[in-house]
This record gives sequence, structure tokens and C-alpha cells, in this order.
Amino acid sequence: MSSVLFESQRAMRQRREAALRRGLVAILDIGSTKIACLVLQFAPDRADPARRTSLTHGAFRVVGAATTRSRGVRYGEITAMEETERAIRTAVQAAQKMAGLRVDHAIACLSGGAPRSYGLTGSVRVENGEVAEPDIGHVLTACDVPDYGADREALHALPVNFALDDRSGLSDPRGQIGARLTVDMHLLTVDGIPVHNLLHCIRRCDMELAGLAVSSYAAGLSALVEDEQELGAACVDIGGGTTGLSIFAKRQMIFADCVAMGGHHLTSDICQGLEMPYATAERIKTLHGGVVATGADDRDFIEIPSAFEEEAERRQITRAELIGVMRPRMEEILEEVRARLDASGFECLPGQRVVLTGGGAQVPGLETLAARILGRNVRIGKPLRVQGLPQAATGTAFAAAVGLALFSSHPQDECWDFEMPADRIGSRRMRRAIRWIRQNW
Amino acid sequence: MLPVRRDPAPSRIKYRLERLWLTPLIRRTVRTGLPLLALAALLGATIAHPRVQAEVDAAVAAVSTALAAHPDLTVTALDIQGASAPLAAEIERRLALDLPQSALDLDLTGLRAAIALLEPVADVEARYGTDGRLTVVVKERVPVAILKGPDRFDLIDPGGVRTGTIPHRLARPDLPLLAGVDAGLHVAEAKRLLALAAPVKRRIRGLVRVGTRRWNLVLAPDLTVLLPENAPEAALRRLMALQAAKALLDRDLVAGELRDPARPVVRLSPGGLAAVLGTDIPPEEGAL
Repeated sequence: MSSVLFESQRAMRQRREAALRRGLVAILDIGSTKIACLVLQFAPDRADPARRTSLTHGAFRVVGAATTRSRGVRYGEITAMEETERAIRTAVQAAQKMAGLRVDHAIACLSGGAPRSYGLTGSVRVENGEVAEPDIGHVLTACDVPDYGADREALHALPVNFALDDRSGLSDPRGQIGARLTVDMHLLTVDGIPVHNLLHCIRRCDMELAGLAVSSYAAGLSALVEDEQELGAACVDIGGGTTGLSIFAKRQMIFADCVAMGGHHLTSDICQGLEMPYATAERIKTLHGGVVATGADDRDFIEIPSAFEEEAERRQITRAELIGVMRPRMEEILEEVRARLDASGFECLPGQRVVLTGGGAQVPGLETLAARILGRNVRIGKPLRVQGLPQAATGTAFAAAVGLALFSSHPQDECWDFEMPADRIGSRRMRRAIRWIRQNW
Repeated sequence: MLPVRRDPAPSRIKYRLERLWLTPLIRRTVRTGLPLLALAALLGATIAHPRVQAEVDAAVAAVSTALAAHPDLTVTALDIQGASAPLAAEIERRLALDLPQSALDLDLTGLRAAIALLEPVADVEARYGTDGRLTVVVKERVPVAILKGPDRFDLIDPGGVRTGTIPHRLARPDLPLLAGVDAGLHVAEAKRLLALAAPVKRRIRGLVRVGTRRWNLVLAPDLTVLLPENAPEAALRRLMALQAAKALLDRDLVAGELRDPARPVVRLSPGGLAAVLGTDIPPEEGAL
């Protein structure tokens, strides 16, 4: 692995640690439907002075939460900078007001940007017979990075599995005896332009971006229970513009992808197919929507306010009609997800659980439909309960926001703290020393 | 670009102001600091206003006047104790108290200092007594000797401090007369010498300090006894013994030289010398 990636991962981790040390951080979930802002307060553990400095293990508390309708975001990417900035300002200001505190650092998640997963492998000889921290740094640097394109950014690079000689499945090989250390690493890249737009947008709101995560990863962190993360499960985050997909095994994300379809497509289908305004369609979808029709639905009439003023009579549709419009689109989304899952080799995992989350997962009957299409054990996953979270923000739509909070408090990239081997950065270190001497004398 | 209907959002300036307001330091400053500052400014302006100052002064003056007018605080009489009549009159003249007066307006310390400045006063104590009396207890200096100055006679106490002046020596015939530079500083020694010279008391005119180191005892009618610098008492005692045994001083002498204890010398007057030479005197007396 190139030292550039090592350095950038390390810089990201350090920036987030620095923000957490300040004790206050904003979580920004910038989605296509809503922008949610949570203000987290990391309280140093007063009871245990030894751990007071390490905030990464400290408990956090949500002291402010606000949601606003998203503007200027399509398919999880910012398309109108100023509109998005205004929306972020609205959410951040409301959350700050609730918290009564000013927040300067934001951790955001990106739902678009066409994430792409790569599996990397690196292998080195263990220096002293026993695996030490420099060896881990060494093996992380030894991974060969594929050419993912100059315009893409490596967002997550997580060592998934360590192998020592012929023993595989080690999560922490430090201190073990062996000759050859191998690492399997999951590298996730996204398009650079959405990331830069997001960065710029948050900077325009007078905040500093302290961390960035893919929203499907964040959703998986909060929607999957520990057993599912351990044994292997897929998290499908059905959002407004995109449907994110992440697969976890051994508590690590091993694959992430994104389907550019979501709840908005259902709404626009209703809007076009049943001829009603978009806002009405959205309302009817959320109030009466469903994907599995029963006999009773034929007799369930839904009154639609007229789109045009001159049309005097009220129009009525049956719920079966509505389901008839919504179901094919939902099937399409799930089939696309199925295709991505198949391509990722999900069936090889011991656990085959699929967890649906995100705002789109609230559609009644989705579980049945998903079980038929994905053919597996399916459940709807609500995000983990965190301290201080308002009741209104505990639904599936907040899986990514809550997951991002968990991501910031329990990051999985501690390994980037290990020093890079000196032979890789020798010249660099020398240059730094020379520069330091020159600056100080 | 088409005009779009926008959702409400805080303007950038409002957002920044809100964030500023949520900054703890700013918040504390505005909430606590500014009111305190305003209060301090108001208070300062009130105090600095000349009319307010004048009113406060007037009120204070009114209160103090009312207090001073209280009958229990009025001093009606001055009571001087321990002073002789002329000194008491002098003290009264010096103080020039306009009685009756309020005790609040009297400056006891100042009174005490003014009285202590007087020469005959050794120590003074001033206090308020009962029935509106101001009691001044004076301890007067007691003159023990007369110091002859170039043109006057000063009375001095044992410490050599001047307590008064007399016009001529006979004003105080009871006190011994001292003269010479620094004589006032050795009053105790002079008194001892004079006590030793008691047998010739009627003839003593005084003691003269010579060269700021030794004494001359001057006797009437015209005899000077030169006492040594060291142990003048012993020399004088010896002289008194001679006087008692041989009535030495009754002879016609001008000076008695006792400065060398081993060799006392007398100087005869011209008349005495003639009498000695003309008459038959024992040889041991001639050696004297």
C-alpha cells in the first residue's frame, strides 16, 4: 500500500480524535430526503481517571437533534450548493439551540458517490518472531492498492482479517508467534467530487469536517445487532434517492455498494401513474402505502385532493391500485440489491441475514416482499438505542445518523495509529527533521 | 435560472450570530459582564456628579453638626492639673480654647502636642472628664540647677533640659549655678560634686565646665579649684579632708590645682604670699 493512503487514513483518524477530544461534535446525515443533525457530547469518564483521556471508548450523549427537509441533494450528492448549505444551517442551528452549545466539528456521511469496494491483501515477514505493532504497520503498508482512479477518494480502509502463517481469522495478531503476517483489507473508494462538495458545503457553514463515512456503513453499524455483525449480514438502507448496501462479517464491513434508486422513485411513480401532485403522492405513499395487496385493499378507498382547481369532483383510488404502482418499483429496487449481493459473494457467508433499514423500510409488507426476492432471513432493523436520542429520531430513517454517532465513538481504525515502518518513510522523516532544524535555528 | 420557492432557513448572518451567542465566553460576557459594567458606569457617573457630591457633603456636615451639638459631647471647662500657676496660665493662653465647644471638634492629640511643646512640661495627658470637663494632667519639669549662658540664666532639669529663664541669679538662690559649654549635660555629676563640697557650701559660687571635659569649682571670694578629668569626686573628697583638718581653703589662695592627684598645688594670692614669706610657717605646709 502506498504511504499516501496510510498517511491520509491516519490524518482522518487524528482529526476525528482531535474533534472528539473537544467533547462536542455534530453528526450530519445529509440525505436526499432529509438532513438530520445530532449534537453529541462526549463526557470524559469521571469515575475512572485512567481512561479519562481516551474518549474513543467514552460514552456519548445526544444533546441536540434536528431534522429538516433536504434541499439541493439528489441521489445522495449535492447538486445545489447554496440550497444544501441553507438546509444544513437550518438543521445545525436547531440542533445547537436544543443543545444550547456551539458545535464546531461535524462528522458527515455520504450516501451517494458510487462507492466501490476492493479487497486488498498484503503480506510481510514478521521481524522478530513475535508480531509487534511495527509489523502491523508494515503489513498495512505492504498491501498493494489497485488503481482506483485519480478522481476517487479512499474513504475507508479497514483491515478485516489477519492471517499468521496458515492460521487465518485473527482479529488482533499482536503478540502471537509466526513467520509470515498477511492482512486482508477492505478498501472503499467514492467519487472525489461529491466528497469535495460536501467538504466545501460544511466549511461554508463555519464548521469543520472531522470525519466522513459512507452512509450504508453507518446504517449497518446501528441497524445490525452484534451477532449479525459477527456472523455476517447485509444491511440494506433504503433511502430517498439511493439504496445503500453493506455487508458485515466478523464485526467489519467487507463490502459496500449503492443502488441509485429509493423512495423518491416510488413517489414519482405514484405521481405519474395515478396523476396527482408530487406532494400529495408523497403524503399518500407515507400514509397508505404498501407492497403486499390483500382482498381488503380493493375496498379501501383513498381520497385524493384534486391537482387542478377547475376539477370539481373528488377522485378516489383503491389502496390496491396504490400498491399496484408501488410494488413493481420496490421489486425493482430489491432485485437490484439482490444482484449486487450476488455479485459480492454474500451467499458464502455463514450468516445470511438481511436487515432492511432507512426511511423506505417503513413501507408495510416490505419484509414479505424482500424475503421473496432476496430469498433470505429478512428483518426490519431499527437503529440502536443511544442515550439522549429523542423519540422522534429512533425510527429506521435515522439508522445512518445513529450509526454515524456510533462510528465516531467506536471507530474501527485504531490500527492506523501504528507507526509506518521506517524504511518506507525514512526519507520523509529525514526531510521533516531537516525542516524542523531549519525552522528552529 | 428559474426562481424557486425556498424552504425557510436562517440567513447566514443570523446563523453566525446564533453561533456567536452560543459561544460560552460571549454568552457569559453579555449576560454577566455587560450588566455589571453598566451598573459600575452608572454608579461611577452618580458619584462623579458634582451636585451629588455637594449633597453628600452637606448631608455629612449636617449629621456631624447635629452630633456635635449633643449636650453630652460639649466641653464646658478646662481643668489643668499638676502645673504651677504661671504654667497653667501659659497653657491656657496657648490653647486658647473657645469654650464651650463640642468634643468632636477638639483635637486631643493636637492639644497634647501643643502643650508638650512648652519648655517646663515633661509629660502631658489630656482626656475628657465627667461633667464636660477637659482634664489636662501636666507633669512639670523640676529645675535642679541654673545654667549660666552668655547673657542669661537658664533653669535646667536633671536631664539638662531648659525649663525656664530667670532674670538674675538671685531669683533662685537655692539652686546651684553651672557654667561652661556642655555643663547642662553633666548635671548629675555636678550635683554629686556640690554635695561633696557641702562643708564650704556658703562659699560656693558655682561649677564651671572647662574644655567640655572637667570641672572648676569656683568659691567666694576669689578661689578656683581645678578638678581633674578622671575621678573628680576623689580629688574633691581629699580637698575637703584637708579643709576639715587644716582649713586649707580659708587661707589666702587664688587657685587650688588638683588635676594631678599625685601633686596637688595651691597658688597663693599676692597678699597671702607676702604673709607666708613674712611669717614662720612649718616646712610641710610650704611644700603644699
